[in-house]
Amino acid sequence: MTTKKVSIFKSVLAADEQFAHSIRKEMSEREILVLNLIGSPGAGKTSLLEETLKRRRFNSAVVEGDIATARDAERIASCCVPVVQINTRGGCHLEANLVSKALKALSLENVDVVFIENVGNLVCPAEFDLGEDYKVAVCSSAEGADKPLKYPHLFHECGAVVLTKKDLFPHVRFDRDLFWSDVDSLNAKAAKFEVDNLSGEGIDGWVDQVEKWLNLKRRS
Amino acid sequence: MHEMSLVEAVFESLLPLCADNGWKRVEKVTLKIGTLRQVIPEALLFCFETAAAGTPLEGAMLDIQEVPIRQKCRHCGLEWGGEIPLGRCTACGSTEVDTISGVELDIESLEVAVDDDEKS
Repeated sequence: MTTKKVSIFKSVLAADEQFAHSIRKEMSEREILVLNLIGSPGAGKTSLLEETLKRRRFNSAVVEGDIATARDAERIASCCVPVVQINTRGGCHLEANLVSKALKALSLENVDVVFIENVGNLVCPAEFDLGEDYKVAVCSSAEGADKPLKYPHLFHECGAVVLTKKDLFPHVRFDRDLFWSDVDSLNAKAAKFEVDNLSGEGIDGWVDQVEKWLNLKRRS
Repeated sequence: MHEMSLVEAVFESLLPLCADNGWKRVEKVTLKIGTLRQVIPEALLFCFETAAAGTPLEGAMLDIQEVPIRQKCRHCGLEWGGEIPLGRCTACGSTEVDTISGVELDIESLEVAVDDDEKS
């Protein structure tokens, strides 16, 4: 027996990337904007979605990713938009093969925007392409201002950063300047928003951005 | 902890390759992994050993080659490396910056045991 070296040169995630590619192609043909919301558990992803959906500026559908329960999907369903829940059963992130199945379960007729709410986690979801147009980093003031530099991949890659719980700034001694200067150093091009999901303050600016992306996609 | 997903993907890719080529024993697997991919090598090794049991990859050495972050400015052409990716060129301040390495997640090569008459 001898040893033979074989070159492979293949992406580890080649199989899943095929699913991401198919999603991107189909959604482009249908002119549907796809956003992948990523943030820690409790960052306010579902609340941000509820506030966004309430404004009814475009027709939305939602893919909810959670380790367990259908609680988020129930909250979204009460906003009267089509929603499908993916339970990853312990998996710390969504993968394109799961999203592809979920999208088939949704009626996408007349839908303008699909929001994918990823599993609450700042690390792993950033590593998996779901066929989205943009990743959106959702981070709350209560998590601390040091998160962008601690989790650089997401903040570097995303199309927008939404800082939630702005009403808590004084209570958690949030260093706002540090947060935004770190975000800027990682990703000067990202659209940047501060919102309070409870009062709805700042939500309109974020919704304007979604509409801007949607118009860009339709023109391309 | 996405290392198990990565290992599963490696096996989904390599096991059919071993079956198709009749490789009964893989001695070494080389992966190229960019710093930005936030992979913990120890976790990857542990998952790999667990998943390899009972397959042609059992006992194979996993060689993880880390690829450092390199970026290049589209405007002035400056190239630089660092621990974290930057959104702005350090020389001219342009935001048109490409990450040219550090995001790899590739199966580079294998070393397989073959009968001498099969070696080509």
